[in-house]
Amino acid sequence: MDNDLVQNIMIVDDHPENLLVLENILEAPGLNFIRAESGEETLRIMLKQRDVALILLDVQMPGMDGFETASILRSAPNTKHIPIIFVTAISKEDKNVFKGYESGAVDYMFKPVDPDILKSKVQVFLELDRRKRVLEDKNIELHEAKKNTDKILANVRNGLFLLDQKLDFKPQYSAALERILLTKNLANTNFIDFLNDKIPDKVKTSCNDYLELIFQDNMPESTLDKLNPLSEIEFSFTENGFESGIKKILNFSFKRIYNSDKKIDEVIATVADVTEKIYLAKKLKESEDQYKKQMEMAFNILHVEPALLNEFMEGLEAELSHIDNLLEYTKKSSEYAKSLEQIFRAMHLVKGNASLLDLKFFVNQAHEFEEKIIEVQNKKSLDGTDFLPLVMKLSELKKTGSEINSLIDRIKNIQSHFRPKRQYESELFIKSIQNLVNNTAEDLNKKITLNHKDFDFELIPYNHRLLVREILIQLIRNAISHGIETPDERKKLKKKETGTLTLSSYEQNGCYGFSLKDDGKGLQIEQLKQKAVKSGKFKKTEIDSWSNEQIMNLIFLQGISTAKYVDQISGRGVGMAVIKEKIDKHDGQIEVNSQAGKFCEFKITFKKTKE
Amino acid sequence: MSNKIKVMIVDDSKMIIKLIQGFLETYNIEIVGSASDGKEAVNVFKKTDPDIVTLDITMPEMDGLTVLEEILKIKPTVKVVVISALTDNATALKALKIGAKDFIPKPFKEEQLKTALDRLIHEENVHA
Repeated sequence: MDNDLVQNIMIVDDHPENLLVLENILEAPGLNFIRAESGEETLRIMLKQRDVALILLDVQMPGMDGFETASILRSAPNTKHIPIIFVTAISKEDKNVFKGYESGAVDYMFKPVDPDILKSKVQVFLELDRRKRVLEDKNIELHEAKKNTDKILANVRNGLFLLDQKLDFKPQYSAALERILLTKNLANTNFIDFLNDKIPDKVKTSCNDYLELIFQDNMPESTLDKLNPLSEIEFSFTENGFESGIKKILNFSFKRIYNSDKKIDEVIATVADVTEKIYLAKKLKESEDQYKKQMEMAFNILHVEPALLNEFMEGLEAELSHIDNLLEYTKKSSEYAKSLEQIFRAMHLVKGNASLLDLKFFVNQAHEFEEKIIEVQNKKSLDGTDFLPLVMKLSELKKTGSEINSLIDRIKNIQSHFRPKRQYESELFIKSIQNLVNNTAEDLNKKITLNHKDFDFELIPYNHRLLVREILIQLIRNAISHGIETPDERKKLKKKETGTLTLSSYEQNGCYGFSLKDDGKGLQIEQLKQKAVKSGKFKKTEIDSWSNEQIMNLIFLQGISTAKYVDQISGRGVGMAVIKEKIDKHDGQIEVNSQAGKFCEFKITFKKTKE
Repeated sequence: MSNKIKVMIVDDSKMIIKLIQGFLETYNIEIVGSASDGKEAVNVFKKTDPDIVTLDITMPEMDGLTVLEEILKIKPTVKVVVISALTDNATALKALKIGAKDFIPKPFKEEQLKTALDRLIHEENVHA
């Protein structure tokens, strides 16, 4: 007998001694007797007492008799199911009076009561009551459980669902699931079918493989966890077979559910919409990158002398608008190649200036632009749309330009505190040239000292200073990348490991000039010849008849350069050509002098201009 | 059991083969052979009759999945641990479906390999 279960039996008789007799006969552990001596008392007790297993009811009582009491109990919802055994002294022949009572819920005993019969009848009713109560408890539990799961399923933000072996959705799933999967009535539909057209077929196949394996209990779940194909996958949702434009990034995870036989007959799955999370992470990264870029810019800019920076920005604006014009007004396909060349030159100049000021972020962007131009140049046939990537890239550069401008504005106040005086300009110029030499040498693993003791910055007229700087940038880069050998090479050649660049200036006959000389390998006459022939601009026989001096002058031609590989520093064969063009434009002259294995020197002369 | 478990290593990188051999040196198994391409793998497998194979699924000559199918045809009870880069999950899943017993993503640690082997060794029928 279940120890927890106490069963109440109500016994009713107007003679208290009869009550005692009944109690004595029925006495058993787990039984509790409730006594009443009249119909009225019975009803009063039954108003409060709920769980009575059985009522033994005397029929002949003064006042309300047994039948009357029973009929009232039968009419109340709380008591109508309680079984009643009538105990009566009437004759067996009159037993038809009990007709009309539902069978099963009612029985009768005749006085004098036979203890064994009474016991066995009561046992039957008590057993029925016990079963009923166990069932009720279970129902309550189930009801509670269902209520709990319903509550969970209605409130969880994740989609929660079960898949059976056929990979069908089981009917119970969380309310959020339909919302996340944008699909109604998922119960008993197939999960793999659901994936159709929403994810790439390859992922769908993997998903099918994965879920089949998850139902195989010899496959370790930890192994499969690593292979879940549906983690952070983009779903595109369709509407009537057409793409609806709704895309979501969903994250599924699957766990086995073992039944009592330790077999896997279903899989519980959760799905979360992580679109926002991924999107936010992406956004965050973008803004972090932007912030980092700005910090780098600010840091760079703070270290640049403001006058130089202003010059740079002016030059930048001029070159960018030049490129803008070229992109806009190049309409004839016959002009494409020429425009591209000009765009490249302009960008190369910008890159050179940025490099001089050590504006690394700008050098990188300009370099990327150059790569794009080369990409376009390498196309077999060009049409207008090929220029689109350049337009995009240009707007990026412009954006960077305006970011620099706003940064300059913002740091102007801070910078004015340590803005250098004008008399330091010469010092700063040398310093920036020295920086360029150091950085370029470091990039190319070379050792170089700059000798500038014979260089007088004040000789250069104010309006030529930017020009001279541009020329020097190109010459220095060329000297370091093509002229001066690596320390190892120099050692083998019995030269000093550290190369020397000599910058000097002079003035004569109303002209001023400057020269840059390196003690490197000199111009490569043979290579220049080969390049010139290869460029298709000259015939071999023609070149063979030239003097060395004539050949050296080839380096000022577009498309001829002796660098072995293209790098960010020089070697695209435009630098010298651009320089020559600029010098020509300012009525200047450039001369080159070189001796193989010894040196290479460039001399530039300008007429002095009135400031 | 007196006989040691026989293991064969298949990987197109000789370095990885060495690495796995190193990992398993102190382990109570016998490395009966190794191969660095698919064709060789099937040949060595026929000769050495291993109980367990670690198999790289991206290899020249014959790809890992084909090797897996071939050696399972030769000896259906062989336990194969697939080793592959995590970027190729789809192939790893296919391998498990075909009949590989476990999967280890590259790059892996000694512990992961040993855990996988332990599981296979303690499963029944390794010697069947």
